[in-house]
Amino acid sequence: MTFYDLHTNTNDTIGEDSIEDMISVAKKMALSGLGVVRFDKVSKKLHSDEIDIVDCVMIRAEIVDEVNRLIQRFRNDADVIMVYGGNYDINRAACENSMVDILCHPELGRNDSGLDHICARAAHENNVAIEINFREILELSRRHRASVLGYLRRNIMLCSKFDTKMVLVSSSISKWDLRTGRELAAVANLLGMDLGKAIECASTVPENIVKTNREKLAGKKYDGASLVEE
Amino acid sequence: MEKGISIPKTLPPSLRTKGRYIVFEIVSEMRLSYSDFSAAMWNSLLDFIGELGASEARCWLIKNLYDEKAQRGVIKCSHDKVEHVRAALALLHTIGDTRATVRILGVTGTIKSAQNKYLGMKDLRSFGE
Repeated sequence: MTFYDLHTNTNDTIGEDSIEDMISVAKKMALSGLGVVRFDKVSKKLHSDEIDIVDCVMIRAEIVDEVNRLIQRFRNDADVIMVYGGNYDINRAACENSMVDILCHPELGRNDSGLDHICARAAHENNVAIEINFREILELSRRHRASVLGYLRRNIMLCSKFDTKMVLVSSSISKWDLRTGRELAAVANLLGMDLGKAIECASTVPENIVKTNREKLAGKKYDGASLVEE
Repeated sequence: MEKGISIPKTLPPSLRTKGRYIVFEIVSEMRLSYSDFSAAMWNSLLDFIGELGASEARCWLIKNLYDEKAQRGVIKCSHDKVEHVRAALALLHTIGDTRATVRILGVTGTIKSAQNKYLGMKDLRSFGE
């Protein structure tokens, strides 16, 4: 099985370790692909022969117009477009924009889950995946961890109800934060996700997002039609 | 009646609780001892699934199967709490004073298959193959 972790940070952005260190631990963790996040200002593309490095751009903005402008700017440049969630207006705008691939941590810094039935339905219609962020659970403890687990449980329930895509990510800022897809699936299973679906959310769902976007960027696939070579 | 401390008889298989054996490997900066890992595992289990959950999980870090050199070991737990134990192990990030992460190699139904499949120990029957 090929597991993909689409949200990791290296020392080029907010991470602690270099890409080489991350790749060496990712190989031990049996990961097939590693999504290295760059923020919109950094434009360094990475490549490795050992593991599939996915170029992910994180759109981070305070207002909705700025988010839409940055998405337009980077859509034809990156394998995966992610939006930095947390603000409800940004979460909803991301769910309603079909150019977005993943909405990251919609519950970040909030006292609620950051999603409602309107966002979940819009995310399903626009093919936007909702991120289940493991680092939020890992870094918190006791009461705060219990709160975040509750918000994630609610988001998983909403996404299951509206058949919205979800992706499981470690969101690691260090090589020691990386986890195998199967472990992330075990956590998601305890939060109410079916185990088979949880394993898909760490393997085939992110893999398909990357594959489809690369085909579109290469001009082999358009909305609703694929170019077949004879 | 026999003299000495009397102990209860072993339960018949149909009345015993079903167990699973989780084979793991520690990826860390330094080698970790059995006691360090055991303490960290129990802290994580109690933090994540609580005292009641931990009692239901019936976890047991098997001492004679812990290989300090290879940083591999086996945890016995209840068959219906394997995912809970997996998740609790995934939440380990510091063991003792060192940064570490735990990778699950596999889950088996017997110690023998755990040894044969994941720990590189062979029984005598394998020499005939």
